[in-house]
Amino acid sequence: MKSQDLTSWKVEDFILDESFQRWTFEETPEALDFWQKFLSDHPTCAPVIQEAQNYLHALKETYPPVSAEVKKNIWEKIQKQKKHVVRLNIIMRVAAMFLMLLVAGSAWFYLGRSSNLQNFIVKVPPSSFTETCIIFADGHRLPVHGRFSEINYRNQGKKIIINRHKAAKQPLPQKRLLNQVIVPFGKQVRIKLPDGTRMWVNAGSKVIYPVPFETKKREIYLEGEAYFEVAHNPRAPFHVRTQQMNLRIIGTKFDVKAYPSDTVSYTVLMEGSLALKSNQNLFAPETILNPNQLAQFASGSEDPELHQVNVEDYIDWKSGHLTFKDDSLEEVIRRIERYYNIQILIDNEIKQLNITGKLELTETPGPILQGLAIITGIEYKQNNEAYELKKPK
Amino acid sequence: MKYAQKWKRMVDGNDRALEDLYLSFFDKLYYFGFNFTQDEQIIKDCIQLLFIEITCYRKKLTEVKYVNAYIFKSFKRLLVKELKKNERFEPLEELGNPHFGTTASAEKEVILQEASEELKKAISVSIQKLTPKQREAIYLKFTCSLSYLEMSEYLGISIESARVLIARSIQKIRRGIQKYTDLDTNNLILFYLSTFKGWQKN
Repeated sequence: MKSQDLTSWKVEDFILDESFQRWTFEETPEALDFWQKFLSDHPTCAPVIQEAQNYLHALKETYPPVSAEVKKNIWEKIQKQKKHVVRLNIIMRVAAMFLMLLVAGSAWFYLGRSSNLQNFIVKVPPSSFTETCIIFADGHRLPVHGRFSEINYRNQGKKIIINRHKAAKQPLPQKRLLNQVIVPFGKQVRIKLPDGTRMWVNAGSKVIYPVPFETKKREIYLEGEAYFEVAHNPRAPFHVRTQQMNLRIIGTKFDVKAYPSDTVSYTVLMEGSLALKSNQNLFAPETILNPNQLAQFASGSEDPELHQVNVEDYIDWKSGHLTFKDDSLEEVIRRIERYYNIQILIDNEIKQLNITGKLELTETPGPILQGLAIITGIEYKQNNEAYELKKPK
Repeated sequence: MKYAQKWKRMVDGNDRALEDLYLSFFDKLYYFGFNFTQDEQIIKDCIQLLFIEITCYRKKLTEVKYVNAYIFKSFKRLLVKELKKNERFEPLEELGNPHFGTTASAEKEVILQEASEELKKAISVSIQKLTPKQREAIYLKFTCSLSYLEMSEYLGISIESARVLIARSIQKIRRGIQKYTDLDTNNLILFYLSTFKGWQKN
């Protein structure tokens, strides 16, 4: 009976009918059955129906689908951000007091922020590099040749001068992007950042920082050892983060040693003032360090141990030699191992030998160990990659 | 009510259903967005924001009856807010005036299906004469396949008004096309006449 009325329908009536639309766009089987039956019962309606269908197809805009990669990318971002918000929700429920809410909120913010820097870490250890290297946020790598090399940022970081003569450009200068510097063992690099801060990065380290820094906060992530001379800017506090420690720098010269493979990490302050705390507990109180003090964290501990030290012993590496003062041979060997990323076998009996003096850092560990053996009167053997120090027979 | 079941499973915490919804709506929202701005990044950001919002408040979204309408409405809200914030829109009145059906941008390359190119061209010219609200309604109805019920929800009007809105727009488009094709025929006759005259002179 319905189909009787339909014979008097005009083109517009068909266009506006939802069942007809579904049939045209092949959305439901019910519509298909109905309209096909109608058409075969009333063939005279065919031209009107054809015109209405032409209209519908012309009214529907069709597009090429967006690439799966773009969709996947955004989906991953949604997943990541979702977790943060969900975590915050749980904290909110647990924390009844308004104050706690505030603290938790900032903790989330804080965690989220510092993990941003860590996320960027290219999962390759410095030992797999033979040359110092800058890795840009787009994955582009710029090699920096030389055993003691230099990276100098100019013009807000848009321009990079390598070893005083080679110039390179930041790939996307209009954005604030993370740069990562990887220093292999046996090499060092001196970096001057856009804000004027100087940084000496020791062998086997990586540092990550945005170029240029944000206007209200300067933040660096470090794995390994670096010595800093921070440019004064009270409006943009300077932070160094490692796996274990967070440092808030009030000023100005300090050394941080935080190799992921070490059980302890430390920072030594030469000049100015510095506040630090463990990463293990967000609510841990800050410890303020004074010049000539060393703060050391054993792995997993929340409280630093403070010692009065001779700071020169801790930053000698940056001038190309190692200084020792009443140190055991074991400690000397450990520092040499670290610098060159080698393993040295050493007899138990000579481990406690006392060493005082300076060792020039050479390109390869051979000459240093040779010299050490001569001075201390022990035996040195090298067989390819195997280094051995023995008690003389 | 195509998405009702998936929506329900998503509200119950099924992440698979959430991903399905995301994939079903991505292209639609993406191209819908280009009617308001040419800034692709903002469109993508708003799709991201929308799904973060849905995920985080999923338990409170049991009330949503018309998924299609809810998603488009929420997306538009986020987009307008974002565009206001970025001041990519000069006058604020423009916010209600999307550029639906205007010349296709590079991202908006239209693939012609069964409909003839001629009719499509005629319709896109005719659509220009509609009011922005009519254009938006036509886009949601035919390109995004919203039902009259969902449109009434999206626009905050009754189902009958939604139907009338589409009916008036279709009438206007059809009238426009009539003129367009008439003009074409006239031109054709004039052309024949002039060639005929020229031929006569020789």
